[in-house]
Amino acid sequence: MLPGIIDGMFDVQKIRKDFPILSRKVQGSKQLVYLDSAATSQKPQGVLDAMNEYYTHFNANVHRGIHTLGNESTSVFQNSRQKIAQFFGADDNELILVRNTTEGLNALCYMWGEKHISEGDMIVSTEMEHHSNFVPWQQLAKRKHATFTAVHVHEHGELDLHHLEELLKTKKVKLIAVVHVSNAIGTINPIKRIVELSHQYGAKVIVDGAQSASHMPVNFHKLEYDAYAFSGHKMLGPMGIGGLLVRAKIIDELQPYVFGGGMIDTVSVEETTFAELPDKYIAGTPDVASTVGLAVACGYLNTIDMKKAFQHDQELVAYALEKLSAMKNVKIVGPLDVKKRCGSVAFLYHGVHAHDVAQILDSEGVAVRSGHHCTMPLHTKFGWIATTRASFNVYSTTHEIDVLVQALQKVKVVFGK
Amino acid sequence: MENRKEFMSDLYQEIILEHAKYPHHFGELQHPTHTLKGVNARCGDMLELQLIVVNGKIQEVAWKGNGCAISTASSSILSDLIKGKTIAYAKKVSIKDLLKEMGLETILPIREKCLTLALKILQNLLNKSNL
Repeated sequence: MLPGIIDGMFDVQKIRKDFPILSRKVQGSKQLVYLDSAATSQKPQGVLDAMNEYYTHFNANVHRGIHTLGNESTSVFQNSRQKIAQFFGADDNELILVRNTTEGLNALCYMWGEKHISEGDMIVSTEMEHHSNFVPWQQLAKRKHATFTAVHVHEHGELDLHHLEELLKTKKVKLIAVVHVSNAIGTINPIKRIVELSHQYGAKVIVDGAQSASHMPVNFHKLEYDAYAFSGHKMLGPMGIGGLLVRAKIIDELQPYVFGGGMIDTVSVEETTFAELPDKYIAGTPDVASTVGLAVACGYLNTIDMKKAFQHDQELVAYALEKLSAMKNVKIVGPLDVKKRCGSVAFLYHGVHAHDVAQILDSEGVAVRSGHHCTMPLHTKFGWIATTRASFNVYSTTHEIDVLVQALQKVKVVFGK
Repeated sequence: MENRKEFMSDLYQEIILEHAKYPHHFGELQHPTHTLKGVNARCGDMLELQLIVVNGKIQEVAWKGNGCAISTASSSILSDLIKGKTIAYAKKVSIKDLLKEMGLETILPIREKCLTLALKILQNLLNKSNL
């Protein structure tokens, strides 16, 4: 029987059995209710076992030693890379392995931005962007004496595409850096439309896929954007591994920005030539075990089926929207239409700071995230000091949302609000 | 649901909730001699501290900002601790002093920045102003 699947049905209880951490007790004897998957997802036992097995049986550096372990390690690494690329419907040569989404976006900023952005150009991010797809571009613009600006966000947490079009019409825009799914308010952005608009005006589109990769099917070849960055640890894989997918026609023209072993062809005092793809952009020993772990996570998600994972997520989001919006002191942020959101529901609790809300929820075993979620421009725009976010993954249940709602009653008891 | 007292035995002591609800010296001074803003990078909470220092003594203190119960209570308690005291005394106020006043033995690592926001601003202000 495949994990989590009974007769083709999505069985969350069966999936949960693959995640031993979910049966942990916290705060004494309270059952852990993990609603912080947008920060990092939990990992199925298979991922942990695969990493352990790699170090136990195959550990050797890759692409170097001409010996049995060196060969095995290299082939395990290459197979894992291919599986990760396949999961996203991309070719092996379109995947640059990085530590996480942040590193992927920064890498692109140096490898593409340094060459293609110059004085007078415009780089466009959005007001709902995570700092990792905002600050690197803002800083690049400063270095290049280019302009940096952000697409406005409507009151209900959606991007103002008219504003985007106005910016594009200046014909100065070289790049749009946009998040696929907002980590702070859960908005699913209309990437297809954004790509159409941007390409019409000759601008490249870089997508932050941190929150979409583990929640919905992503097919890199079907969608037309130019690059997509993701984090393995948010999609059931280990921390420390992620990827940057770049279109074949662009990837070969990137300039390496980390130099050293593994990425060279020939080196002399006068000149260095670089290796072919995909080695060209991987300097130094890669994190093989994490690559193996992420490949197993991709396999696990494939077995579940990303369409079913997305459907499950939509059910959870709809349930959380319904239950939380019925609470008097709770105000949900972001779109109220479930079809426009994914992965999480964030809210304000009237009169009580999000840190205090989270602390009280923790006392009931409920793990949520509180703060600005690395989206200060968005929080500042709407005057939110901090928000509390409950976020989900394939193993999350409606029962856990019930526990969250019950635990929120305690905020009232403690703060009298 | 447990009753309030039972729950509060860990972090949300009565004294913290009281200070959070009715913070002391919250607001602005008309003619501060020293002002400094600070931010808790973890959550974005901003706080501004104002002092009137005369002859090495903190005559008046005020602070404003939005924060959680821990940062609000610790700012309020800190303002009580330093008002009317010498600069030398204010320089010696420590995290331990704040914890003691708040009825806590220790603070969770993840809440330490909440506890110390006002204290860090005070220390920066005293250093920067060569007080």
